[in-house]
Amino acid sequence: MTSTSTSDRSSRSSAPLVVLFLRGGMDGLSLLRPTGDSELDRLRGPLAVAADSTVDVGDGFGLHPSMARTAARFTDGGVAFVPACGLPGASRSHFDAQFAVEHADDPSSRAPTEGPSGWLGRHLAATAGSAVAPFRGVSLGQPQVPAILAGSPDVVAARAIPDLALGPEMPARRGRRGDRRGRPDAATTATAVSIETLRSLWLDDGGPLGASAAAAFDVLEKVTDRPPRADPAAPPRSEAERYVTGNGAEGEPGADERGASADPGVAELVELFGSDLGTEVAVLNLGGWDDHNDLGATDGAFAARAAALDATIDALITGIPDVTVLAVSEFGRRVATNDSGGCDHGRGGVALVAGTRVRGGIHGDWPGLADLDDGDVRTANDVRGVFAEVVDSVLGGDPERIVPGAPGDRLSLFR
Amino acid sequence: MSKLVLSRRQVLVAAAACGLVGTASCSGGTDAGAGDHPGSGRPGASPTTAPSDLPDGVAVARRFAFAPTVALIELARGDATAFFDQQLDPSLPERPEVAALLSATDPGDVPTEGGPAARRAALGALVSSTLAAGAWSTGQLRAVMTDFWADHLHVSSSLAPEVLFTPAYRRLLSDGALGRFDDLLVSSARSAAMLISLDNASSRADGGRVPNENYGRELLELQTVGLIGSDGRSVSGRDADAPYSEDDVKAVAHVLSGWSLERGTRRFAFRPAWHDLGPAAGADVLGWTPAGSGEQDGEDLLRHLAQHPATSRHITWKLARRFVADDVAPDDEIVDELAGIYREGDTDIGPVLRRIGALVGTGDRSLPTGSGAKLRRPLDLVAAMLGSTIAVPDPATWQAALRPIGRLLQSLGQVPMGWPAPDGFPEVAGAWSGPGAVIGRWNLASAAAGGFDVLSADPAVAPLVGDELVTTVTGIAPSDRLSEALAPVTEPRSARAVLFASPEFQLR
Repeated sequence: MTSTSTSDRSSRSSAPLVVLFLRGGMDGLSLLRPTGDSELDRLRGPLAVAADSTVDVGDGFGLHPSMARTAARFTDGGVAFVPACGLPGASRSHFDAQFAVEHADDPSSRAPTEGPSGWLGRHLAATAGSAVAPFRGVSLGQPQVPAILAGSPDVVAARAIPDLALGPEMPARRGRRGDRRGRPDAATTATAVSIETLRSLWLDDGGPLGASAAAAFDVLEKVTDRPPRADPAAPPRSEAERYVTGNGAEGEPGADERGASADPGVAELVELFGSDLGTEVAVLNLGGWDDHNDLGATDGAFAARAAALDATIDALITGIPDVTVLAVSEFGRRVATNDSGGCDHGRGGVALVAGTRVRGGIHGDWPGLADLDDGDVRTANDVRGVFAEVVDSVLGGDPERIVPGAPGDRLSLFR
Repeated sequence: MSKLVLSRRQVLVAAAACGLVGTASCSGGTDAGAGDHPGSGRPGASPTTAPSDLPDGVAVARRFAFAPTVALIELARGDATAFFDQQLDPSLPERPEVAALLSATDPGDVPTEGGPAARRAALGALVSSTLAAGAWSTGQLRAVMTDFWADHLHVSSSLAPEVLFTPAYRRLLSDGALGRFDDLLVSSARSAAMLISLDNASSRADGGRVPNENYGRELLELQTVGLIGSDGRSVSGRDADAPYSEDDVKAVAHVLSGWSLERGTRRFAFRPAWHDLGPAAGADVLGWTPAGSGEQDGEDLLRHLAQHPATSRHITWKLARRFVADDVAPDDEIVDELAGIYREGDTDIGPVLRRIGALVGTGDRSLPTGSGAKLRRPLDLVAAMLGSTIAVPDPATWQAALRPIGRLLQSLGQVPMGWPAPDGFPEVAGAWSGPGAVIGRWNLASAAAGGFDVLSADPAVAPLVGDELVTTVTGIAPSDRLSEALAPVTEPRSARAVLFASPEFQLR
């Protein structure tokens, strides 16, 4: 790994990065099917995505038919895939593996108490300025800060940007047309606590929420001035509705249409990166990929989610200039099916990187399906290598410090 | 008019009047720091709920109840024996108005199939029972422990099909919350909610089929033996030191194959045709070997796992984190002691809770102290705000309030059974921090102070402002900073909002 001098590093700027964390263990073999390998058909039967339905991306792989826009970008050289990708030594446990992939650490060395940092959090902490800048790192889709961003105060997390404002009617409800409701009115503002009172209560608070409160005042100032324009066509977004859509379970009328549209967080991210709030990295949590059952092949739950993922990647690249999109999951899934119409947790999965900085193609080693690791795709490519290259080439950070343990040889994902 | 039953608020006011609140008790028991309220006079400090800083009885009442009353604080003095005697008594009666509310919002028989409307109704019933019990039930310890088990044996449902079975699942957790863990684990394993959520209901091993490993894995990893190595450190599942192996996961999946549900009624039904021990036949599964007895093997395995030494450490560690401090480590001495009590009692939880209560109540030096503060999670906050200031509503008014309350819980990230993974909502303060989280709490404070626009404040609390409001509602005198912030606030709703938004109200 080439090293650069400290002065070079400090002058390197950070290009926008959006990480799509596909929670549950995204089935790489459905997303990026090794087309020449009949083992897959033998082991998966009807659950294998038919080779001739995929879009050929070369090197013996075919992209899932629901990923049409990504396939087009691949042809233009703007998408890189890393198959058989994961964290060597990681387990098949979600929690172990998510922890490891988000913290990018050796799982057997982690401490039982809270406090470990995520690789993006470490990067933000290493490149922090003198004042807290909470919008440098943004997470949308769940209220809690995800582990990948832990370790830096320069982070704000919310289900949606409208949640980041004070008012007695908060959170704002989005109606069917996406219009924002719930603005405070005179009758109900009587009970709202004033900012001045909050400041006096929370000044220099030394408790568990003290630092968060200080950052909150900064966030409130910045968000109040610029209510985000919600996309009127976006569907209502609640955790529950996302879950229903994500799993392709029976939902409300139009669930299929919703499955094919970009994640509602995209509109807010486009706005954020286009503003002067200083957003450098964003994380969108996309759930529902834990296909123990109802995996489907080309028209099941997985396919619907893949279509939504395709739309999300497309919308991000279209909307945010010079953005790099990284899609990762905690692991892939077993090659053979279980008996519930799905596949259980596996190891090697697929990482995807897209954007104009990317050197397109299939990268890394592909061990094939003849030599499995206890029924799983062998983890031939260390995902920490992907993170290290992202830190280096996209964020202008210090990969050796931020992702220690990343392998020495590069995958060369970027130009 | 029927016999007047004192509301909890009325008891509080009477107690405050006789000077019991926040000061040395009338019986003259030891009272650390009387008159020296937390956070006073120290710039940069924060009010803390470190047990040694609080008046006698307050620490235990705050940790083991959502909305502690003066009566509970009284019971919790000293080693808290009286508190646990009352709270562990299975015949503890509910107040009539609370019983009425709970039964009115209990859905009784739910449809076993249903589209979005039925699922939303079930989720509504779940949220309703969770909050009503947490806020107003006399059985506060049971409500608190139901919350603990709802995380430990989490059924991640949101609006997925299994949400239909979560109200019944919550009842099951509540019924077994204070008994033996092995009994609770078996009930959970036979429930439609758990069997559907972790795919065991469709798991078959006959004819060489590969059974679904989802439940088997989480049963070992999350619900029983866990991933704590023999030295007390967390380990990876692939570590040689891990309590279980991948072969164990496969074996458990085979033993539990056939644990399923009847079509239609969705009641538990063992399907012998789907059951096959496969590689588990004659195998050693964490020190147990199946007898080949079909359904009984499954129950025997579950009880064996519940009683396993690694489970005793795993569960008591989590209990110590819930009730003592975030930074209790699995290899702390306190965990050793509690694990021993758990095993001696054959997985009975009551004695473990009593011991933790005695340690917390007497400020025992062997307790890991950390900052001494435990952060209230969003459900804790809502229950505390409702229970300490809001009158028990009639069912119709309560239904109307659930809509705004539900939206706020969503934005704060803690809708019951709504964590997206089976490990339940995170325990430690770090997971609930960040500017977005704090803004959410300030919004909740305002909304709750106004009764979510539909609920009425308890008449005994409704007119209160200033220090009197704080001592009546919390049992602790306010910090200087809170006292100053409240001084100019003459409108009671605004005063409540200030209290609810304060740093000290965020702690338990």
